[in-house]
Amino acid sequence: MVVGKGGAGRSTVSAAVARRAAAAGERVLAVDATAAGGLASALAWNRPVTPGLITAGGDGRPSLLALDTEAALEQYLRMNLKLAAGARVVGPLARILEFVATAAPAVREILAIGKIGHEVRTGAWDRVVVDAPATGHVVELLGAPDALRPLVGRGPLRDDTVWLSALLADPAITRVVAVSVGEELVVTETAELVGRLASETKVTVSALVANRLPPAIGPAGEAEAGRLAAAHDQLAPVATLAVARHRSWCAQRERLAALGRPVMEVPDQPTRPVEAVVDALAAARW
Amino acid sequence: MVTPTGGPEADIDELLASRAVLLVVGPGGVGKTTLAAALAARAAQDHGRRVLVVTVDPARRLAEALGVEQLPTDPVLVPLKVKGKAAPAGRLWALMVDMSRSWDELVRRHGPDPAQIEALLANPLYRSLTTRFVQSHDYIALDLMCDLADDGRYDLVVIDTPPSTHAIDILDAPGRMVEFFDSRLLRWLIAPYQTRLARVTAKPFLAVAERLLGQGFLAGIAEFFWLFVQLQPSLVTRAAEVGRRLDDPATGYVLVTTAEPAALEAAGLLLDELAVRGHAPDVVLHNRALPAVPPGAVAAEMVEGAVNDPALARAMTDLLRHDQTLAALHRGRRSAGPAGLAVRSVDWQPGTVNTVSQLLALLS
Repeated sequence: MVVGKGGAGRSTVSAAVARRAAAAGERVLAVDATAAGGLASALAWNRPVTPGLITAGGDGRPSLLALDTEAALEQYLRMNLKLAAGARVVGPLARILEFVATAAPAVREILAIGKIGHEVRTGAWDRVVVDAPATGHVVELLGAPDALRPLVGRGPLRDDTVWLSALLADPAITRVVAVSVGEELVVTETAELVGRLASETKVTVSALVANRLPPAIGPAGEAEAGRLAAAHDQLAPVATLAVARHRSWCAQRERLAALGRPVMEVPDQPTRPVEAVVDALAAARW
Repeated sequence: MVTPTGGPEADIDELLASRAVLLVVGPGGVGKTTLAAALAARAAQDHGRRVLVVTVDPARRLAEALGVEQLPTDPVLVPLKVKGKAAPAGRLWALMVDMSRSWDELVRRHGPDPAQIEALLANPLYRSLTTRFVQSHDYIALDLMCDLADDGRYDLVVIDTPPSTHAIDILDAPGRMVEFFDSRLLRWLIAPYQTRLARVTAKPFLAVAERLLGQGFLAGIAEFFWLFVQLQPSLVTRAAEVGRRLDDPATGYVLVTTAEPAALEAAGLLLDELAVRGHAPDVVLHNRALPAVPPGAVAAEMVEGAVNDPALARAMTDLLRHDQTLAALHRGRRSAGPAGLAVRSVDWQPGTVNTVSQLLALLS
C-alpha cells in the first residue's frame, strides 16, 4: 500500500514499485484506488482502462486494475446473492447500490479494500501494489473493517470484515509505504499520517519515501552561491534560493528520520519521475 | 517575484475591504490554510475589520500559524500585536469546525420537538452516518459560514474549505442536501416506518439488504433516516438559503495554487468547475512563487556559463524550470475567461509560518 499526502507522488512510487517487481519476473497487479486515476499514466499505460476490470500486463509489465466501487459492489452482490451471470442489477439491487454509494457507513471502503483483499487471496499475484487514496481517506479505508464490524449483524459482510482486518494487520502480507516530499508542511502531514495509521488502524507504516528532493549542494557549491549572490545581479536570487531549499531539506531529513523507519531518498528528476524512483529502489535494494 | 500575467494585477485589498465572506479553495497541499489565515490577518490589520477565520481541516497548522495553542472550537481572539506597528483597528478571531458538535446543533435547531431530537442523537448509527452522507462536512462548513456571516459580530468570515478529493464538492453540498430529501432512496430506507403499502413495496429491497448487511444494521439505519426526515422542512429551507449565499455578490472566492505541475492541473480543473457554476475566483494566489529571473532560455545559458559547481547549477536550473511551468499556466488559462485571471504571487520561503507577523509578511 502506497500512502501519503496528495501531490507527494504516490502514483509515481506505486508505478516504480510495480515496474521493478514485474521486471524481476514477479506476477504484479497494480491497483489504482485513488479518485484521480494517475496510476495508468505513471505506468505509461497506452491502452484503454475499464474501471473495475483487470487489464493484463505481461512481458515483464504489471497488470492494472482501476478500482471502481460501483463495479466492485455489483460483483459482490452477484457473488453473495448467487445471481445468474447475465442477470441485470435492477430494482432492489439497484437501490442497494445507491444506498451504499450515499448512505451506508464504511461499506464503500469495505468493498474497495475487499476487492484488493480478494485479489491477494486468489494467489494469482506475487505482489499487489496499491496506489492508495490521499491522507484522510486512506485512514478511513484501512480502518473500515474494524469500524464496521460492531455495526453490522451476522452475515457475509461481517465475515468479510474479519478476514480483511487480519490480512491488513499481518506485516508478512501487508506493507505500507508513506510518500513525502522534502517540504516542511508535507513532512509534518506525513508524520501525522504515520501516527493516525498507528492509532486508528491495524496497519503499520514500514518505510518512507522522500520524493523529488532538490540537489544536495556541498560546501563548494554553497561558497559559489555566496559569490554569485554578491556579484551576479540576475542569478543572485536563484543561487540564494537553491541553497535555501537544500538547507530546508536537510532540516526535514532529520524529522523524517525521527519517525524511526527506513527512508529512501529520491532526487528530483522531473522528466523521468518514475525512473528516478526505480533507480532509488535498485540502489536501496528494496 | 514572478510577474503576474494573464490578467489585471490582483487587488486583494479591495477584496478584503469589501466582502462579507471569502471562500478559499484550491488543491490539497498548496498552503490554503496558511493563506486563509494570512488574508484574515491582513483584513484585520490593514482594513480595520472584525474578521473570523474558520478551518475545517482537522490539523493544528492554522493554530500554529495564528500562535494559538490549540485550534479552538469556539471563536477565540488572536493577538494581532506586531512589533513596531500601531495597534490595528480591526480584530481577528479563529475557529475550528467541530463536526460532531455542529451536527448536534443542526439537529437541535431543525428538529420538530425535543423527543425526536433526543431519539436522533441517541441513534447508534447517528455519528457514523452524519459524518458520511451527502458530503456532510462540506454542508456543515457552509451552514456554519452563513450563521457566522449573519452573526453580526464579524465584518468578514474567511473559510478554509475542507480537504476533499474534489474541492468543488463544497459548492454542490447545499443542492445535494435538498436532493437527498427528495430521493426515492430515502423513501425506501424509511419504509418500515410508513404505510403498509410502502412496507410491501420496499420489502424486496429490505430483504436483500438484510441478507447482505446482517440483521440490525438496516433497522438502525432506517430508524436514523426516519428521524432525520423530521428535520426536512426546516433543513431544506435552510439549505436553499445557504446555496443562495454562494451566489451573493458579497461572497468572494480565492483560488490558491502553487506552480507544481500536479497543483496546476488540479487548479485548472477547479477553475473550469467554478465556471460551470457561474463563479470565477476574484483572486488567484500563486503560493510559493520563486524569485524573478530572466526568460528561461537566456537564464539556463547563463547558469551554464556562470556556475561551476554541478549540484548548484542543477539546483538553479530546476528553479528556473518551475518558473516556466507557471508561465505556461498563465498562458493556458488566459483564454479561459475574457477578463483573464487576477494573479497575486506569494513568495516561496523555507520553513513554516509560525507567528502573526510572519503571516502578515506573506501578503505584504
